[in-house]
Amino acid sequence: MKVEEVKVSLRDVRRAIKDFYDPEEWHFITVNGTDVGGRIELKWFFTKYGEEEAFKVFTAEANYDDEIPTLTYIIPSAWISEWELADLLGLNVEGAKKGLFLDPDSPKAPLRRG
Amino acid sequence: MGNRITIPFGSQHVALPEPIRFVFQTENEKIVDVEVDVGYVHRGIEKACMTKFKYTQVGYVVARVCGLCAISHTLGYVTAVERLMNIEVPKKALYLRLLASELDRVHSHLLAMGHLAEVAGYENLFMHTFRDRELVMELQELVTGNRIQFDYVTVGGVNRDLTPEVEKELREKLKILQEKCLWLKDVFENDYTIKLRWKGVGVITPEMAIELNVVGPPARASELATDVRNEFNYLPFKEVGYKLITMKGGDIYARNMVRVEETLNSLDMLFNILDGMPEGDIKVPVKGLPEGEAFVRIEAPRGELFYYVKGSKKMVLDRLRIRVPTFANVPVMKELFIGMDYADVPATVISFDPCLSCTAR
Amino acid sequence: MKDMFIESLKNLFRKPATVKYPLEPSPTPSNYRGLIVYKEELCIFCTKCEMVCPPGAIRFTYNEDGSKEFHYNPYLCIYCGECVRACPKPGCLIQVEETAPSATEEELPNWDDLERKADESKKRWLQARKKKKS
Repeated sequence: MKVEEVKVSLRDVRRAIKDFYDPEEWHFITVNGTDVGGRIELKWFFTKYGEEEAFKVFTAEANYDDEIPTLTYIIPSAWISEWELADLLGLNVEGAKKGLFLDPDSPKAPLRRG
Repeated sequence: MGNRITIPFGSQHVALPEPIRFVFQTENEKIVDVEVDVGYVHRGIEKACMTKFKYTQVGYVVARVCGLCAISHTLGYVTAVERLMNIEVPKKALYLRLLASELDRVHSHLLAMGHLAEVAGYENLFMHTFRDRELVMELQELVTGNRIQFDYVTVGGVNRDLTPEVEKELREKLKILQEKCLWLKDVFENDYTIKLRWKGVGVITPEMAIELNVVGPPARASELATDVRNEFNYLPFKEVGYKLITMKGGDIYARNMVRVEETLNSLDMLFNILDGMPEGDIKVPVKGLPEGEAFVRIEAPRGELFYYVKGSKKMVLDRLRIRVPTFANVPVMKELFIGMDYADVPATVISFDPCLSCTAR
Repeated sequence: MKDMFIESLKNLFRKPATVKYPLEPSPTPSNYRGLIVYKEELCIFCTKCEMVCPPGAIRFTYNEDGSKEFHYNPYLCIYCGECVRACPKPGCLIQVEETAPSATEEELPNWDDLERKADESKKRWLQARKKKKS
């Protein structure tokens, strides 16, 4: 498995992905958030079309109340993963509506620790 | 133009027994805006896998995410954990997994084809497809012991061996199934009603497919050559005669034809699997605990299934993330509806073969 | 379309594809994953089956004298067979090709109560063992 991992700060994520992303070559899989105790580790996964096991991963860390930049200008289909992030981890993602999965009376941010 | 009318579509459907809701804003017949709600069956499976269940049990839990692609979910999880723990799976176990996974694909595709015929108003063909699907269900029961919840794959191998009697029956029934599928292909390809209803409806252009990261049969129907079986080495697909199938057109008809062709390809592969079944163990003992992170892509019947697993030498995982194919196809569905006639919506929704219990998890 | 029409006409005279279940028997097929059967005389009470069971359909309650009792809930069981594979004593737990009796036939076990009892009795048992050691 070929994995290229790029660590960026949260502010530079959008620029870094914009510089690199070529829709004809790369397939955007998803953005994933993991609670690592007080902070959220965010990962944007990309894979190359037609090539075996070639991945590119952008990693950034965010605090609970940071504003996560949206990628929908660059990748129009990213909104749904970002809304999920806003819903299940309770993050403040730019332009995301809450309530994709959760109802108003369900627990808030279920995937956070503690 | 007339006034705007709000039409809710779902959450109960004619053909699809799963809850997805669209709220369409229409001007006469044309749709101008759409909102989507996919979260009716959110069960918090990711949370449960991270708190309640041990990593050896999670395989059985994720199998319950969805009944139709149960084997894909377990396969995805198990592959990820095996990569984390550096477990070498015996060749025979890989072949048996391949067998179960392709049987699953055949049954899922036949289901999608049947549902599509039903929303086209072609009940007769729907009944035919489902009658033939029953054969695959019986085969699955024979191999794994259950019709849908297989519980066949486990960390380190598979749970059951293939006995010679089962193999013999598999071969006989697969032959019948192949004949029936060829007949179905003929009908789906040439039937006048179907062509009239599906050609040129709900077209995803290749540009759109690339821009919106479409996955699975809808992507392959729009000339986007993406298939995880080709791009990720989780099972020996290339040894058993896997073919990448793409179509031109991108309409409902093309999406259905991709499924038909893939069903036939899967059946060919099943014969090759039975012929080339290696000898050996079906399981290796598992020791140790998962540490680090791994991500795998699996080709589920509906498209690319993504698993992210993170562990830190504990019985319970730190993070499990499931990104299912329908989840990735919702953006393109939404885009597709704008400008479409309302009457074409049911067929378009079903042509993606949406699986909402996967999507909401 | 012509093919389909002919096929449909033929179907009118074929046998039905379904099993007429209440009139005809519908036996479980061979290789079916069914109920778990437990033989107490072979059990060594290692509680391995309880530990591996994904839905928690197998529970042990601890008696005052230190002996354990096996409980199985066929309606919670997912019939995966993990317990059969985990069992160190061959023949103690086996999986038969039979479905669970329909839930109306006999009274359902009060599983919530039993789970509570199992948890409490285990706690008591652990404390008693600790006392004995110290």
